[in-house]
Amino acid sequence: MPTHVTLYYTTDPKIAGTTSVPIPTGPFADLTSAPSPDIKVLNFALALETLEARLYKEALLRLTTGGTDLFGNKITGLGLASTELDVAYLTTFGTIETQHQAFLEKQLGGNWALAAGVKFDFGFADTNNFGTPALTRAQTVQLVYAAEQTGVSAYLGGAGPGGLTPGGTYLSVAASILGTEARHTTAVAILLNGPTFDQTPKLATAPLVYPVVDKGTAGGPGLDTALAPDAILNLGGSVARGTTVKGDGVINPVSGPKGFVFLP
Amino acid sequence: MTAERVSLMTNSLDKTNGLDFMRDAVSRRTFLARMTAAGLGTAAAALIAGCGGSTSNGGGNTTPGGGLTAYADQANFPGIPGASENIVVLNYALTLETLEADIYRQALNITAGKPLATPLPADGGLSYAQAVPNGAFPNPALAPIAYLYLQQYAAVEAAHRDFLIAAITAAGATPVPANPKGYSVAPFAGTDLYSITKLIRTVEETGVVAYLGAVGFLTDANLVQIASSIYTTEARHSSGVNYTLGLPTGPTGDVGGAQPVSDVAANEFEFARTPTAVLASVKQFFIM
Repeated sequence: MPTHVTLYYTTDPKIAGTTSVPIPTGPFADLTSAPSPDIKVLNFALALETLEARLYKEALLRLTTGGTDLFGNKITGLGLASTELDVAYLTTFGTIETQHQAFLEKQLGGNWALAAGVKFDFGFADTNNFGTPALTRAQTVQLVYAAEQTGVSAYLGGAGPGGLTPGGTYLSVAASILGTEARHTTAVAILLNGPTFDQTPKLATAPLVYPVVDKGTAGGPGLDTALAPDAILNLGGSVARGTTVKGDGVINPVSGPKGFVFLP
Repeated sequence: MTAERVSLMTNSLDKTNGLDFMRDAVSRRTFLARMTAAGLGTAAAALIAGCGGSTSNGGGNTTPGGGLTAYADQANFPGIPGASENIVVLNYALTLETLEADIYRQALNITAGKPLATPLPADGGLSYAQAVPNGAFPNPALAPIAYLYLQQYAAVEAAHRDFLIAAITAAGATPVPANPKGYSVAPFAGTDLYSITKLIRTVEETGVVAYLGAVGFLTDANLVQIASSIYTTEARHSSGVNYTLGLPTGPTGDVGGAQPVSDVAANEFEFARTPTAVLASVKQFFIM
């Protein structure tokens, strides 16, 4: 068993049915044969959007009617109504993430996409790869929060040196996705702070400057935090699933993709 | 099948005090180093107030301070000074952040019953009590949250302003000064928390479309990243404020003149506005 599960990419333009090329140590940095830094970052973004889109889909199954995950395992639905705010938000935001995924796939023209057959396991199923109980309602929303928070830092990292070309075709487009990740992060933080979940301590809805006694969390620089793609891909793995999300409005919690990716 | 147990996540870095390091990634010190690395200091060194009088900047205008002010990109950023494109964009951002910070300051004073000229207090106004009626919030229970966000975000916008001033200064350039006669806010703010929050909403959403409309002009990846890390907070603030007003958290593209940045003209992507359009829309706040 490897100690490190990564996102897999294929170098073959005809993805389906071809052999994936595993890149075991830092997949982003190792995409040396990508035609440009922009293509690398777009692939990185696509991988995360694919993860997010799937996460939303399964989270909604868990909260509502139930279904099956990518391994064919049964997800038991919690039977929540569509009028519940968490269901409403996840429905709206999940649709948006799916749009982002489709958009990026289109931009990449079928090249350099996430390897076919990669499966995610988020732990929603009764029987899952973690061998743990299915995520609760609160854990489900917390996981979504973590994923969105990570998305913000990931896009910011992709916009830095070695990433998207300044002034290039893709920069503004990626930024237009980035903004929505930020909005979602805040909205889900509000959701967790609200009466249904009553998260304690309260999550900051944005990076704050001053310490906020009894009104939020500790202050930071007032800026969102960038994380380089390699750092994003190496996040996670050391804390047991089910750990209560702790917010400081800066970077924590973050959810690394490798914790949810399983090889074909 | 290979399965690896990992989890709902988190920040293992936090355990090793890595959090401070993460914050440092966008700290002022790092930023200043990046500015230097970007070579901005050299390009704009001649603009330092008081010592640029004999330096030609290619048709710059004379400023009250006696130095010359260059305007590198009047076509896209009318009235915004700066000898290079990057400095122009930073000064554009500073122009907006200065306005935004002052609108927050005044809005907070109005809601707390303080004189308009009262500076933002050291605690960012968190100790202020609301002194105006809630007004017509669709969900009155959200009024206290709207007030909390007003208190919390005011200090953030002031920090963005100061951050940009420090950055531009560190690059050897001159930060665009605040409007000499200040900013007119009260006529647009109304007299209750709801109307003030609506004004804040417009300001924040304008910030989002403004940054997205300007980020493409930056030529340095470090600056792109820094500007984007401010931009996301504008989006977060918009999301939070929209929530208190009973609106979709966005983006909704309903800020006047907002344009999609791709062929996907839907609300799944943020919208942009040209600097020219943004500057025209905020002109009403500048006391001439």
